[in-house]
Amino acid sequence: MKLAKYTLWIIFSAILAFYLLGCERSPIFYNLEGVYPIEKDLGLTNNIAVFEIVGTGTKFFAAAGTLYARSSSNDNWQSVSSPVTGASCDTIEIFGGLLYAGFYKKDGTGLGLYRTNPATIDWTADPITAAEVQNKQIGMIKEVGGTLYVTTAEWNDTDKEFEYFLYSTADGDTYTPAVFDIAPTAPVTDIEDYVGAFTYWVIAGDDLYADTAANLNNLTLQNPVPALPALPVEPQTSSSFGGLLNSSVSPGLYLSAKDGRLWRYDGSDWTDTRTVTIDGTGVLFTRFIDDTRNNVVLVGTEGAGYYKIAPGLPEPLENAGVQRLPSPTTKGLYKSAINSFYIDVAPDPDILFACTYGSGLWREEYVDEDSRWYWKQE
Amino acid sequence: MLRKLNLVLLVPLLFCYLSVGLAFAQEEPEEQPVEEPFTIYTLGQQSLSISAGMFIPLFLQEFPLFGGATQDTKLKTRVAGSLQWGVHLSNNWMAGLEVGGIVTKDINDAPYYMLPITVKGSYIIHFFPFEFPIFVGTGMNIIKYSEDLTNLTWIVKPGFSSIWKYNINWGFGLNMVYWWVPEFWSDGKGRMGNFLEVTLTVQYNF
Repeated sequence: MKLAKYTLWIIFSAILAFYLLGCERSPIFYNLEGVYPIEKDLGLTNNIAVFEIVGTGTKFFAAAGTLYARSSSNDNWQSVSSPVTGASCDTIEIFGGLLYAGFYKKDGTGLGLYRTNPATIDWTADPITAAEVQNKQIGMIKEVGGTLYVTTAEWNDTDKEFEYFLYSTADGDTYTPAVFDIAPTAPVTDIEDYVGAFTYWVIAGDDLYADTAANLNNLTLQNPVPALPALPVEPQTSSSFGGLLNSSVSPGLYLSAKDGRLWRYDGSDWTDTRTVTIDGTGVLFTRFIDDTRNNVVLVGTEGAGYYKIAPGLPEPLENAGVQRLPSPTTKGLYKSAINSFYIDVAPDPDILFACTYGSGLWREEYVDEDSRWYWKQE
Repeated sequence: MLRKLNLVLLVPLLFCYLSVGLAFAQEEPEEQPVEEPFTIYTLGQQSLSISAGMFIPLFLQEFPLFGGATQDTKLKTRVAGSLQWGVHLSNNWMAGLEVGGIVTKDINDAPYYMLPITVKGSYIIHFFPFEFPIFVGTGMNIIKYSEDLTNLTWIVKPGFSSIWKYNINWGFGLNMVYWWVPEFWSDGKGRMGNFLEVTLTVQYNF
């Protein structure tokens, strides 16, 4: 009886000591100190989905169904007229000083690729006449190494399924289709260049392709490859690739997946993290960004904010160098799905944007008097 | 702003309490005094109390205890409540257990909770028909912040009460309790939370 009593006391004391030492937890009062009022100040609805944001140096554009614009001097966001009344826009890019945007009707019908001078916004002044991107569903528009890449999805009525295409253009007028050795069964969601055995890397669902030429005339499937035996092979939405990044702050080609895994390619070999999990489930990683002011790589997630990857990590990447951000005190962003990031290095200091699904657009700014960065909701 | 609000709420609370206490005290028939007013409690008598009122965040402080920089808690003034059981050791001393709780929000409306479970020692000063227990409680405190942060800390709760004895069984009063919540942490991230509880209480002795 006495022994049982002492044992209970020892167990209770051990548990209490463990908690009091706070071994594996986050300090709540310290976190509270870092809480700043989340200002919602620039007129953008706070619960919308923002897919992409781009900047021209003097103006920002945000694709959020509606296309929005504001000046870089923090004026309120204003909707931008679309080329067709009521058309929506989820993807934009700046290429050759022009704003490129993919539009679609409310019923989902693709209206194709448009471009305009971002200062004057006139979608009819310099129309794109290439049949490859006219009246098509535009999935992704991305400039890589001086070439613009555009993806489309087309319904094949014979096979009763979508076909996915990737085009490249050097001038914005002529579009060259990429040639895949095995046709992708999912839309291409990202492309990046990195000098190595291949120069151009493309992800589509759970497939990874690579090519040596910018016009992508010989995209070859890269997974599974011997160096990556654990790459997912079967198409599963929970295990598709999320994004690619040619990092300048931590040299290497980064690849994310929606099963908690991150890879890094150094030009010859791939390395990977152990699976990053929350409550035993792999984190759904999305797109990357180089955080040039802190010299780290950031990667978004679906539902868990974003993660910071420490620079110059030894290989393989370790979970210890992959840290979840922001603090839980940044309510609204901590558990958000981040579609993409954008960093504007023109102002001093830089401004980092996070486009979320359902939690609006966030920007991270520097508070001089507190010597710290914090997030604001636009 | 919060401090002003606290004052605005505190002053009427104190006024009401003292007014009611004195009014009832004046109406107490002189011919029905409580027998032996200065030896009300004996060993083994028990007491149950329920309290509810305001939780007032004061400040956070870095270690060390003396000289550590202070910061605003970023929490709002909200509600506190507790249940207490005690056993009298003598007319003046009482030992007990207390389970309390507070519910509040931070400046961005993220929820914040604390649930202290403490052992408590009280020294009761009798001044018929009032009692003034001076006490200190200590134990563990579960803190939950936002949806993802939960910690267990140590807590020390010194305070005093002013109880008006309606009769030998029932008492009504006001508690003023200071909550000192050290959160020990490495890397200079340890802080001490300092809070104030101002609650009305109902006490039953048996």
